[in-house]
Amino acid sequence: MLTIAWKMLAGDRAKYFAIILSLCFTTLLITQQGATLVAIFRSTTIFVDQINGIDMWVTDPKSEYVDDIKAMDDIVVARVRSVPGVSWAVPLYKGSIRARLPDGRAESVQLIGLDDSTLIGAPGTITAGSLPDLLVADSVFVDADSAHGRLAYPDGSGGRRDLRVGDTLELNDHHAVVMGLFRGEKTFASTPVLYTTYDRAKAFVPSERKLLSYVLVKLKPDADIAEVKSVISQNLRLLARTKTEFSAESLRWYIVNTSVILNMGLSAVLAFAIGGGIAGMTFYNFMLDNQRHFAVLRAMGASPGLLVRMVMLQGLGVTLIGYGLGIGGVAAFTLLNTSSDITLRLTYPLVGAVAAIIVLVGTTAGSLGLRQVLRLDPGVVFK
Amino acid sequence: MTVDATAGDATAGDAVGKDAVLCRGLTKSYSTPSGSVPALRGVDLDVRAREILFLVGPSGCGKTTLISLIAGVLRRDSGQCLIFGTDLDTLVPREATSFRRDNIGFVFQSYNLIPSLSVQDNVMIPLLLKNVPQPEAAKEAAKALDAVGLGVHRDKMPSQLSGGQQQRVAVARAIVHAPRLMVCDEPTSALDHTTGKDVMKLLRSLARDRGTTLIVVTHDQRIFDFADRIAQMDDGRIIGVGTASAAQGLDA
Repeated sequence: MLTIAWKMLAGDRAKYFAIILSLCFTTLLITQQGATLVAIFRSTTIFVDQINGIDMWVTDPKSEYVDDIKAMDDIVVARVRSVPGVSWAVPLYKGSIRARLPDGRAESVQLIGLDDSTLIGAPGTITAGSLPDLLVADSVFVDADSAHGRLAYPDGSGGRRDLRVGDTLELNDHHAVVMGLFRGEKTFASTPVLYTTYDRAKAFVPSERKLLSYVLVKLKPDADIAEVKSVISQNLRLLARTKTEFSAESLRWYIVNTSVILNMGLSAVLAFAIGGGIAGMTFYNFMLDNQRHFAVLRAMGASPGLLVRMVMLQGLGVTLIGYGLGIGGVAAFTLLNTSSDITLRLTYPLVGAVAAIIVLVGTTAGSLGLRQVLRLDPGVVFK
Repeated sequence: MTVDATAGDATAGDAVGKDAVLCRGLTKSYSTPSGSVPALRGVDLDVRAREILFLVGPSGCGKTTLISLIAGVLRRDSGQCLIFGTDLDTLVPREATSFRRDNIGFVFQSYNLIPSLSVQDNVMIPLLLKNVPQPEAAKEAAKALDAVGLGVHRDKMPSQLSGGQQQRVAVARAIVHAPRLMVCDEPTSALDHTTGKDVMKLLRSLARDRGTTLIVVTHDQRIFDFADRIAQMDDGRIIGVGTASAAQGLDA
């Protein structure tokens, strides 16, 4: 009878495709909005999350989140190194600077300065050049994706092309040479990102007395994290946070203090309400239209349990097909747009959550329709 | 009309094993916003095994309610109704459902074929409900369709058939699992006279061949000849049971 149940649904082509398409559309909407929201969440903390191999971030005590940079004196690095429990500590610079291209165009870029001797904090996926090239004079590494279209280089024939190794830039009147390209994740500011060494970064940026943005800390294996944080706070008057804490506090700051995430969240909720409503109503109407047929089956001897199984199969079947098409569409779109400005991040938890939501829509609509069927007076078959 | 005055005299004990249907003092009321409306006011009825009995009477007299009670799709308020000696109202719902599935076939006025299923799939349903394996069910359905002369149309959808053909498909669906009792609600009312007669001929022939008891609710006097007996209903009661010839001219 389960085959019959499926044929009942699939045989009614118009309704079958309407239900599938509405569930697919709902999945697309919810997933796209959700993936955008996740991407924005991710972009707010990516700078912290992507630097591995360290235990703590030390900042000015008034620094609330990752981009709230209150510069410190370089001497702070040495002071942190002296704290009991600290294995090593390195400086990290993060700031903005104007990059000028040979054709005179200028673009604001993020400049990251890594510790000269260790290059701790270097980008992970280098697509051109090699990391030691960063130590070459005037060297910078450029994030190819964020630079695409913005730091486009004149190609000599009136057009523009992406940056390549060997291209030169002017950073605050300083000569810089692209020695490497990498693929980094999009940051919240979404401006082009350049990496160089800490000392060179200080040379590139306008001279200020304090330029140190963060101190990255590795603890000794037996170090007490709370104790180290306490000593850094009380003795150095600085704020030490674990990577997880810094990431979470940064995300919280963006959620509380910007409307972007609130608006995106609202869009995701609306997408669920509208898409889910359409899909649910379509399936519910299918159930109502088939009430009489289910009543006939009841009269002919179908048990309520069998009817429940038939409706469950129908609901689950269309839900999974619609969901599969929708999630496949978003996945394909995401894969085809990795280098564009469209920011989507399709994570397993998101895929799972959307599956749960779509199954909820399908089962709710199916249950409501089934309730009508089970409450139906079987005598209706003779009317 | 010549009325068989003893039609309701048999006792339940006499009927078991002899009669297909035995109803005594059946009552049924429907609740409406304006109060309870009686549909059956104490119906006594015997239907003998292998008999073709027509239920006739004006609209609203309780015919459909009576066959709904006999078929076990409604529950009575009081009285007794034995189908082949079994009182469906005393069974737990699962047993009543099984009994209906195994013993009763239905033919409806509006055919009630499932439009998104092929003719053969529609006919297979009673067998699939009995957990007959699909290939065997398909074979039996093909036989039933051959029996109603629609074997060549088995892969068509119901909408591709005429009204008469759809009703014959409904007949095939009703007989495919060899029920002992067939309940037919106005099987010819949506058909023209010739087609209606063809359907009745088919029903009678199949019922005779298979030893099936047939209860037919109808308004159609033109098919009264197909009945062994005709029970006349009015205002929730059986007011007479007689032969077809005696019933000609009744207010159907």
